[in-house]
Amino acid sequence: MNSAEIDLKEPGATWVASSNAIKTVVAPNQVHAVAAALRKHGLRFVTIVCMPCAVSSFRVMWYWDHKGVLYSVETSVKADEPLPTISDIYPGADWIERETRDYYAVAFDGRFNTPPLMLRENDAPGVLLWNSGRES
Amino acid sequence: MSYRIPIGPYHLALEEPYKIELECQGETVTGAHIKVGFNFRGIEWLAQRKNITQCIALMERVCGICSNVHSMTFCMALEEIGGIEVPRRAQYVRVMMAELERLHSHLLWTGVAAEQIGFETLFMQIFRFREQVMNLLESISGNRVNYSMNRIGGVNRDVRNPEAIRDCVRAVHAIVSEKLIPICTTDRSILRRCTKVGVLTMHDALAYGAVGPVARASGVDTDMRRDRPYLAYGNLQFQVPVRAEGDVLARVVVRALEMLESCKIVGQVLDNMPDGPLHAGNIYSVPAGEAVVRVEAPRGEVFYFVASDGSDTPLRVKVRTPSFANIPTVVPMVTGNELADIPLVQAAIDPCYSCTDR
Repeated sequence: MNSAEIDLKEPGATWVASSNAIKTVVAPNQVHAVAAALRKHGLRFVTIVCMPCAVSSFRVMWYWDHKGVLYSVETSVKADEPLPTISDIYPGADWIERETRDYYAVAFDGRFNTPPLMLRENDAPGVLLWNSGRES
Repeated sequence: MSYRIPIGPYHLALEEPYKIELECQGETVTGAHIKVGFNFRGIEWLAQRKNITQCIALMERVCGICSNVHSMTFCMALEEIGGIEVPRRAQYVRVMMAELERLHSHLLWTGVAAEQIGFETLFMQIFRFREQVMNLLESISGNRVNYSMNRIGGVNRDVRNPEAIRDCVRAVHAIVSEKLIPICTTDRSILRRCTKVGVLTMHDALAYGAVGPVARASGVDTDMRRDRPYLAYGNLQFQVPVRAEGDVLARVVVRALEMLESCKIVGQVLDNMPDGPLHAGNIYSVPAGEAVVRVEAPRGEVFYFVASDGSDTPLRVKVRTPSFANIPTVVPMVTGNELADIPLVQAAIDPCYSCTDR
């Protein structure tokens, strides 16, 4: 373990080091607890990446940084399942959760509300799910 | 008496639209709500419908100030997916463009800040020097804004005028070290406008995920060029300025010191630039795979996630710009401040709404 790596012993999360990140794959209901543990270690929140992975499912990755080392927490959810919010732990996650909802129409559980960030109030969310212009 | 002031989306001070609603108690700001999205162009949606060569031009249009860093980071992600080795000379040219872009961005910001403070003379002097950097970028690339320097596996153009670059960087170093830093750290009006104004604590900087000079001015010692060296940065000597105060003055000083470091880096690049090819050939697709690449843009860490299915069109391109991370920090910064300081506090994070909205 080098100085940029931290001693992570979160229950249920097995961390694996790859060439450019330290990763774990967890169930959606574990994400909040892992985020809380990373906050305790003083990690800087970076962003969330969401992408469709199969029919009506999403892969979602949360990223943190510690002294240049990238920490990635990945989960997968069905399109109609809510994702856990971490904006109560990291206020910086508020905008990217709202943008993720704009792009993929996913809901975040535990938020008071999820107003659009890029879209206007009455726009339908799910912009990146529109198929026009892409063959597959 | 408490009241709410809506400011924007059109501003006198900022060229880009965004909206902030300030909750005030007398002259003191007690809360703020920020609204963005007025420049939303759906760039991530467009990226999934264009081939990777077209996407380079698309990504260059994420931001009008740090356009080079976006096309470069996108290319670096594709190079990582494809296992493409960038020739060493091209790596040095990319570093030079990145540092000249940082100089131009920081000079632009310092000029805008000087104008916000009411120091018109300083604003005009700084913009005079920024123009020299812009001329230099134009002489290298042929363009003043979207430089079109990057391609997958290298760069499109070589550096043909090293002495002109050296002269310009020497002049910028002199003005920053002999004029700008002394003025910013001793001028009474600047100190009174900037000291203990718009404070962002280290705790809040980490919680909000602040990046770049905003984070470094709040004691967060982070810089991708040093922490995760890419291109030729591992071969170059430079310091990462960090201040603990977290106020507007700290952000001014961090950026000024960063300009000196950029001048040093450009000098080293010119001294050590190896001979060799500029690119790895014509590449129009990469194999299936995905990559995360982070690069230190002028405003802070840029994050790109690119996924490819092996076709010439990206499966997913996620762009997290530094301003997207930094703009929410305005809320803790303005809370408790005087209403009259808000334009300067907003300007002090060097916000870019175009790259925030993408």
